Amino acid sequence: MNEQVLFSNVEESIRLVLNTEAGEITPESKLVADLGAESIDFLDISCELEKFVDRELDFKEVMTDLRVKQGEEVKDLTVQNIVDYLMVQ
Amino acid sequence: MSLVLYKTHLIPDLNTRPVDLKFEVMGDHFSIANTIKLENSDKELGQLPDRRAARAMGRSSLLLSAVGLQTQEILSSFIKKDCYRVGLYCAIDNGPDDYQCIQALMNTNESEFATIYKKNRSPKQYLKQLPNLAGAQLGIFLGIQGPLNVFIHSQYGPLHALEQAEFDLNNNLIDAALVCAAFSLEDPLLCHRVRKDYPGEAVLTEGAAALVLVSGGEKKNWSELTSNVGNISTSKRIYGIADLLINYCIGGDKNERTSII
Repeated sequence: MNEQVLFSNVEESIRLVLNTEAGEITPESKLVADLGAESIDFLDISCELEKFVDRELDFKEVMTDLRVKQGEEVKDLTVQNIVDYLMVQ
Repeated sequence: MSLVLYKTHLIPDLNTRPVDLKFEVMGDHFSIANTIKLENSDKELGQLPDRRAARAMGRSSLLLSAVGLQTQEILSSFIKKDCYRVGLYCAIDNGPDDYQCIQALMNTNESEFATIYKKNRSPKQYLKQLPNLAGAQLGIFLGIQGPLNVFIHSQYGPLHALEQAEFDLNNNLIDAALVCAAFSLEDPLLCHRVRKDYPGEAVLTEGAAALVLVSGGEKKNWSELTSNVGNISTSKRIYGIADLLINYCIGGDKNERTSII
């Protein structure tokens, strides 16, 4: 699955869960700060995404992975962070 | 004693013709005769003060919020004065079940059950199903923090809501009560049950109604509203659990207001 297809799958999953308008979600959108996601939404996004990528997405793992890469604590995830994580898996 | 300050309702156009509603549940196809759905799609109804909330709401819950939010202006002065002295009294059915998930889980063995459950079951499904969360969500939208009562009796739910509201007003627990009810044709088995409760030619119709009660006026005999329960003319529209309240609110002008001096 190429990055563009993966982004569109991630975008659709988030859009379904957070009921956002088309085009509102960009790679730079932050899940909490920009899109207003809450803890249960992360679980819901993960379930929706699993239907596309056929694997479980653990947001805790995504944040840990990012923290290791960036060398600092991660408080929020961008859509691109999720795409990048899924691309290397 | 209570005074109806405001009443409103949301029902399909009276010229809408009934149709048979088709469902598939667990591989079985069946239809419910003589039904009328509201034209508003779930997406339209989902344009709520918190757009994310719609994901965790069934159609009845969306209808309840749609009609309840119409009382926002009239309730605002009460909520501003003391949000703990405004009560919410709802009549609504349990939310829809997820029959696709149930079907996926049928005949699974113990070892694969957890995996299949997690894959198919929406984490927000339980939020959709609990009727008191529909009322709670409307309360959050409006900023009501007083008592919340949700009644689920399939015919007398609105009567219970009205009587509890009047009781709380009479006992000076609240200054204003929002009484509301909603019924949708979303869940096939619920439709099937309601269809069986009424004669075949009565028209099962989606709808919702809300009224605002305040102290004053005369003691209402709300039980008079039930005089027609079980005595339904065959061509009459039936609004499921919301029937009593919608029929009461249909009387008089829509969005009728009573002035308090």
